[in-house]
Amino acid sequence: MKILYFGVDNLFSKSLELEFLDSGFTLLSCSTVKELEAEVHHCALILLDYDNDEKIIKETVKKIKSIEINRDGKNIPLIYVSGKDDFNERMLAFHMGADEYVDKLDLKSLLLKINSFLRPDLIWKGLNTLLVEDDKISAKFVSHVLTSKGANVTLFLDAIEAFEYLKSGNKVDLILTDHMMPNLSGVAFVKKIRKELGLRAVPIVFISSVQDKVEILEFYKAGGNDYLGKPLIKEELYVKVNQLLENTIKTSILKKQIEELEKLSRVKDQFLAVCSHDLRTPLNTILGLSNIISEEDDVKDIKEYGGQIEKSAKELLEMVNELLDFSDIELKKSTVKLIPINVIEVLKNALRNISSINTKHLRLSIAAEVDEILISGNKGMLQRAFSNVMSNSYKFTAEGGEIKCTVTHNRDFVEVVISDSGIGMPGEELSHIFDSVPSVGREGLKGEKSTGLGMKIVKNITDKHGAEVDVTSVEGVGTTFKFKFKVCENGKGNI
Amino acid sequence: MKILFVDDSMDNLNLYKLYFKKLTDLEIDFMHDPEEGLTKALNENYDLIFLDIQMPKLDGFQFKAKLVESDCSAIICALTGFNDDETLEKIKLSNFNEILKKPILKKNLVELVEKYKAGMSNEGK
Repeated sequence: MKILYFGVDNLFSKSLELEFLDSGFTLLSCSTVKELEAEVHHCALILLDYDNDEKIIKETVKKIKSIEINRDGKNIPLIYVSGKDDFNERMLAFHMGADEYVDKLDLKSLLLKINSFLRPDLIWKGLNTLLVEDDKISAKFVSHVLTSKGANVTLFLDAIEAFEYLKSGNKVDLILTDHMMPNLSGVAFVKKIRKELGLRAVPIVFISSVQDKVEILEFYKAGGNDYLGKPLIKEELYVKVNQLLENTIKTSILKKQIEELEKLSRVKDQFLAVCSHDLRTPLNTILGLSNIISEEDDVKDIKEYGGQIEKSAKELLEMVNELLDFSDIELKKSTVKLIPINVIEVLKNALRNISSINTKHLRLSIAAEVDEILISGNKGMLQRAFSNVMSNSYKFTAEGGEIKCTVTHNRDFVEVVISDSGIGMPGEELSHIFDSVPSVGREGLKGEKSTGLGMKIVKNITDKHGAEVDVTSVEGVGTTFKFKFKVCENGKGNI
Repeated sequence: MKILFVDDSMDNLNLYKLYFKKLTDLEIDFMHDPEEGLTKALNENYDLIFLDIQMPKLDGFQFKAKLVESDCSAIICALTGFNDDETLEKIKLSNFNEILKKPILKKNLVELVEKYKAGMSNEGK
């Protein structure tokens, strides 16, 4: 089944593709109303990026509605996805024709929602249930209801065997058990599960013909979550199981989100630790020197201290700027507006900035076959990425060396290569260069400071452009960064 | 009196150099590579060694342990940019003779050196 994504968030569509891998859905991405019109007929559902330009969204929704009318009013489910989870935004989205509104970061929920639209008959797909029932007819009935909605059922006629099955570590999402059984009663079975195995979160449903209220109370006291009376009613079974499973699914989603948040928070802690240490080094110099200036009489020395203080202050400023850039790009998860831009012009601007500080007299050059190649990008961000790479090259290349940019392209892709004749990087460092966990920055050839964030910013910007970046390096020979962007339609340039 | 400073940051070493510029009776070496610093510390007879705690390859704790292993008799002082209790506790437990917290001002550093210098000359008498 095909799902259409309408929007310009490449990072999101990429992660969605991954999420869809074994779900049986395929993702089509498009960003113009014209493309949408051509594709919509093959698609079962539309995901509309609500972070897109409002005018475009309105136009798109209008188009979708008119297409729906033309095909006899048959509705195409429309899910709005957005990075901003805000009550007003939600209301607005529903007013604009959304059938659902899902947070972009919550891919699992999104998949669940898509499933509930497109495969309502398989809403329990992938869930493992354990059924313990010695009466074969009841067992068959319950199994049938569960499997018809996509759940897997493992059946045991005996509670002891079922207990052994759980004890050996098999994961189940729901347990249904009879009470009146030989060898081990349902109540004793559930007590063992809760106490001995410590499985407190798994929902358990009792199935029993017992009608006595006191005895039913025993089921709940033992740790059961619900009770189904015999004779069994299909609808009752369905509703009760559905409620319990929905809780389980939501809990597991929440658990995953908590894990992810914890990971992020650890990254942030580490980040803060590294920052505070690195930021203090230039501050120490500033403090130490300004402290001895007052007792120094030699004007020449005072001037020297002043120069040092200025140098450290500049370094500090550069590091603070880098940090701000990083939090801007990394932590805010902001979506970037991508428009057609000339990648060669951006590259030239970045190189111009380096040439203005080129006191080492490095040879700087650009070789491109054409003057203009359009890619869909963000000028400011892309220039920052190129500048970061170039200033790195500058830091690690000795006087008389060179920084060379080469641009090559074919019909679909443009490759931007920035290489230097610097000292290169050891393999260990190279393999961690794009990690999101910050490391200590490496000092440049003239002792230039850094936060070690520059390359992470590059990676992040590249990701936001849906592009690729690679780095190769040979110690003592030089380092090469290779960017690969998709060329915009009609972006071949003037030869 | 022979003194050694080991700190991976050149800026910090330059600062210490400036602090001692006028105290010409001291013989001071500055090393920014901790491994090279260790070789120097073991081969030459220093009276006082200042160690930065956070260094790549060999941190202040490892450096100190190696010195102790080789029965180095120098007074060892930790220089630390970390102010968290955990690190300070660890430094205390590692039996450094002295701890100086960054930012390190000339007054504190010079006073510390003078203290040991006075001690040595008293012994000498």
